Amino acid sequence: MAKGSTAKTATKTEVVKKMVEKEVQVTQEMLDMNPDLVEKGIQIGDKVTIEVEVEETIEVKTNPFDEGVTYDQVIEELGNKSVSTYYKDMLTNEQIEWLTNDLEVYKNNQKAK
Amino acid sequence: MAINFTGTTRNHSEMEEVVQEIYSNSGTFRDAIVNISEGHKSGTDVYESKVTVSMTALNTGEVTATGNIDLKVNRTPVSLYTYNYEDRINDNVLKGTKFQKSMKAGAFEVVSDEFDRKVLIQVAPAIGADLESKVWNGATAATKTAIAALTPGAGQGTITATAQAAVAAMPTTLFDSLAVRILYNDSQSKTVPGAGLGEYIKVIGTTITSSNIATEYGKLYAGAPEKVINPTNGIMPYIYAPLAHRQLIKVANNAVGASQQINFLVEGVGVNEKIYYNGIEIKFVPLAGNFMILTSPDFLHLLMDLTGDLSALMIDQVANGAMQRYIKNVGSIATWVTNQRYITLYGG
Repeated sequence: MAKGSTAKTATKTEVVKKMVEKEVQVTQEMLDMNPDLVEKGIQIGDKVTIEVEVEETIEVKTNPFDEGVTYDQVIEELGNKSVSTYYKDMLTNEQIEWLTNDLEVYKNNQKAK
Repeated sequence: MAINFTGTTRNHSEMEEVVQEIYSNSGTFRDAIVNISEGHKSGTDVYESKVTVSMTALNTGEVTATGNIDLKVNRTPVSLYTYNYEDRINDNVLKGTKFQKSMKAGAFEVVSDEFDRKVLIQVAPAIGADLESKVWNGATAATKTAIAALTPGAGQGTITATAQAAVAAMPTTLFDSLAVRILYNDSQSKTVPGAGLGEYIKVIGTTITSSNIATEYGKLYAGAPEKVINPTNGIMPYIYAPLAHRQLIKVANNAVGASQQINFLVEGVGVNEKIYYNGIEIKFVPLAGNFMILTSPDFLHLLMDLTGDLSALMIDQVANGAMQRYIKNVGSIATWVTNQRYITLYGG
């Protein structure tokens, strides 16, 4: 966060498991457990590509157009990012434009209170 | 011989007609474009019912309580607001005007028949226009505060900040307009009963111009529930739109070149003109902001004592020798909404 900034960033994250390809060096243990590798003539020290399960932390964005989602939640999640930046892959241009305007009205309404 | 005149000249003729203000023709009341229910003095109970049934495999034994037929009835008390329009008329000030000619002889006689026929007669249409405006646009101070306190959002189940700002900008009135009743009410028939956000279907709105009017009406139409668009009770829904949309629709329909969008069907001319969007008739009413409503006219209610109160004026001499008359109109009214889940509000 920039020095002096008071904006909070409240990006939600979620840990998901997924399969990825990974290049590994063949060990004796791998040959013992996978007779297929021996049949293919693969030896200790060779490099093979296998699929492994990894955990990945991904950013979970709340869809502001989902039922019941309030602007307070949206603003907290946005932090100091703009609507167009944060939601560019999630919302249509029309939705981004509309949301930007309505959040502006919301902030003005708050000031007027 | 030359005329030798001294003194000042004055006008010696006058227009017979007294040019009048334009008043809306109170179409909401005259054509009953919403459900007008009369006979209520101070308040009334509004009942709503809904039956939900679930099919199960045949049971050849005794029928037991299954909960498969849900008979739901809700009662919501609605209070009417009794208002009046009243004032005193000092006919004495009409002396020295054209209206003096129709005053009877005698110093006590200052009531002008011509004034009554040409000016006083406008009171009833002015009241009609004012009341119609308040039926569609306006909120009580209490409702304005309540709506401002709602937590806004973009999705269903929340109010937009633009709608909150639009309500704040509405005239503060003595009863809530229909648009405001849709946004906020204390119906017992909502999924979450009691005071709070209405259960309407929200279509987010923008400023409507002749360029985007067809697109925006498309969003309103697409957002409406299928049951409303395909009514089985023979009552077709209406689109209630601001008065200015008539012009925008015509401009869009009649534009020349690539910007022309003949998306609206216009039938008839003049006062008989009707405009439709995808077969849904548009009723132009004094809605403010970006609001548009698509629903069955059966779901928007005006609860009144008597519709005729609109034009019932009491005019008489003030007592105790006063050379003045009083004029008074009294009425009772409340707006209400039912089957809220079938009301689509553009700009809500």
